Amino acid sequence: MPAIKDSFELTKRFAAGESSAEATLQAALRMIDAREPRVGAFLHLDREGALAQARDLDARRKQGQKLGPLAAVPVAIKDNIHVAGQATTCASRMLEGFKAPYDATVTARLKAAGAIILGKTNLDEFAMGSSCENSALKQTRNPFDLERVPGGSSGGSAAAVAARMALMALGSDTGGSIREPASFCGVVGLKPSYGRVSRYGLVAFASSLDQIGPFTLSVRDAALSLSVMAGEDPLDATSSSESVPDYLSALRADLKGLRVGVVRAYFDECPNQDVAGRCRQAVERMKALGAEIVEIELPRAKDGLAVYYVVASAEASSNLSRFDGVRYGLREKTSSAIQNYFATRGRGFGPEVKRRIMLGTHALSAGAYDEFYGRASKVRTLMVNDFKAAFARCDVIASPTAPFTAFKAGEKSDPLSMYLCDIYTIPANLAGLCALSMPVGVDARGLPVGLQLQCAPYAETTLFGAAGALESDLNLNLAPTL
Amino acid sequence: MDEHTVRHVAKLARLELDEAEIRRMAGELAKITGYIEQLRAVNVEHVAPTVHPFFDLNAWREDVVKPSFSRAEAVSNAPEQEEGFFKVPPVIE
Repeated sequence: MPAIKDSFELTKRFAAGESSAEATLQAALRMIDAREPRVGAFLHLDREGALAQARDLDARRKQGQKLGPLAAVPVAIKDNIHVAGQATTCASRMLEGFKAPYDATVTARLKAAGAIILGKTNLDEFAMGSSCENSALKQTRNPFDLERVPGGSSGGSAAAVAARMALMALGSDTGGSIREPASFCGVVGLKPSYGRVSRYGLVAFASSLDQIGPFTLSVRDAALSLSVMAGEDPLDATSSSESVPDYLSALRADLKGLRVGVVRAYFDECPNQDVAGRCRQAVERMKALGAEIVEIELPRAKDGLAVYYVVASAEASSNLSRFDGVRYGLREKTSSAIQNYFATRGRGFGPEVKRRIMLGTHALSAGAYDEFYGRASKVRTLMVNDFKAAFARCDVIASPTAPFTAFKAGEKSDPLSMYLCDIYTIPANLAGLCALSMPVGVDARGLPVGLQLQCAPYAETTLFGAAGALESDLNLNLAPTL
Repeated sequence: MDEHTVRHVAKLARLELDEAEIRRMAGELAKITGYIEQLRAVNVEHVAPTVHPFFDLNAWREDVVKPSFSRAEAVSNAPEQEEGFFKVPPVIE
């Protein structure tokens, strides 16, 4: 079987009868057998379930049934999103042994579209981190350099797609957890606008920031998967009733009439000038494709990290209060019910999760609330206003996705220096924007560099249009040699 | 953020921390809250807070009964259960 470029191509071949779902799955499983021992992207694989899904698809195609837009695509799912009957661990000791009793809405929609669910991927515990090193269960490695991290928190999903063990994977993005690993692993990673995709069945981290999105090998695959996942869900009251446009038809060949906003400091002050340089070249290509480059200001963006760590931790401290050893997961037995809470949570959560719970509890506590949560929520308003002003002058904002390329495991031991990975990605979550990271080249070490494109809420068609044209122009085809 | 505050917040958060964790946490949180202090320089007078990207959005639905989990499914992940109940140690002796 010739190498498949992306899910879009696979679904066309499958529909044309050129390949079977079972053969496609076997090819993915052979890739997993060869590479997973070194990459470590998965926490659990469901070989039998995947095989049953593939055989069912082949049988239905034989009967002439109409199959969905993702028929036969092998998909991996971040292990904080439920797949009925499979474990959901959130890479935490707290949820060892937990089996999801239901499908997340995204899982149900992927299955209905014909996707084959391969299994669940590694993450920083409860999606808190930027390198996957906070996983309590496994270390995932970057397929481009096994000594380096895949990024995080959705590092397993990014690595699985980069290593071609899955053609598509789901992640969740609260402050950059899809875009930063996509950047580190040289794949496309999309954070949809807040409310665009249902969060039902995603283990909540920060409810005003979390969004589920795909990792893919092409921009058109991101458009294809969003078409399947987007739309109102009665099970998530924050999902939007906005109609879902045809994202695939948003792809275009040139960028005539598109205004690309650039914040000069994001390039000039980027600590890795290789990254800044690659991103500058990409912006130049956009100009060559007909786009107009506009210099813009986001004066409060420099406070994004501080606002984020207050808001996200505050929401997390509240969301994670449900892990108390009563209804699911770990229970540390002590002499009393109250002591059970302390012991279970003290032993079940890892250091980063504890830090965030502590920070968030403090930010919401009497005496500290006004100075922390109250003030951060107001600065958040100023950041939203900055974006409104910027999007009056441009259609898309281009910047590096992360300030550097993938770093070595163990290199960032200080929590604050790890937080700085997300400095360019965090503002989009605070303002509910849609944003993606796409590969635009490699640095001097051959490590992928990601360009972030951000658009106004619900302007995904503009985002895909811009990214798709740039992708065709660059024609990179980054793949690791594993 | 000193050790005294850490102990107080850990109690609010129902988190058991050992002495070494308390010391480490005090240092780390002091550094993080020190960084967050940059927000004090921002003028937020007369600025309304944003607590959600689209706060004006509300979702109404009909109040109708729909199928849900069986009792057995609802307690299937419980660390301890008895006759369809979540079992916990006595709260009142």
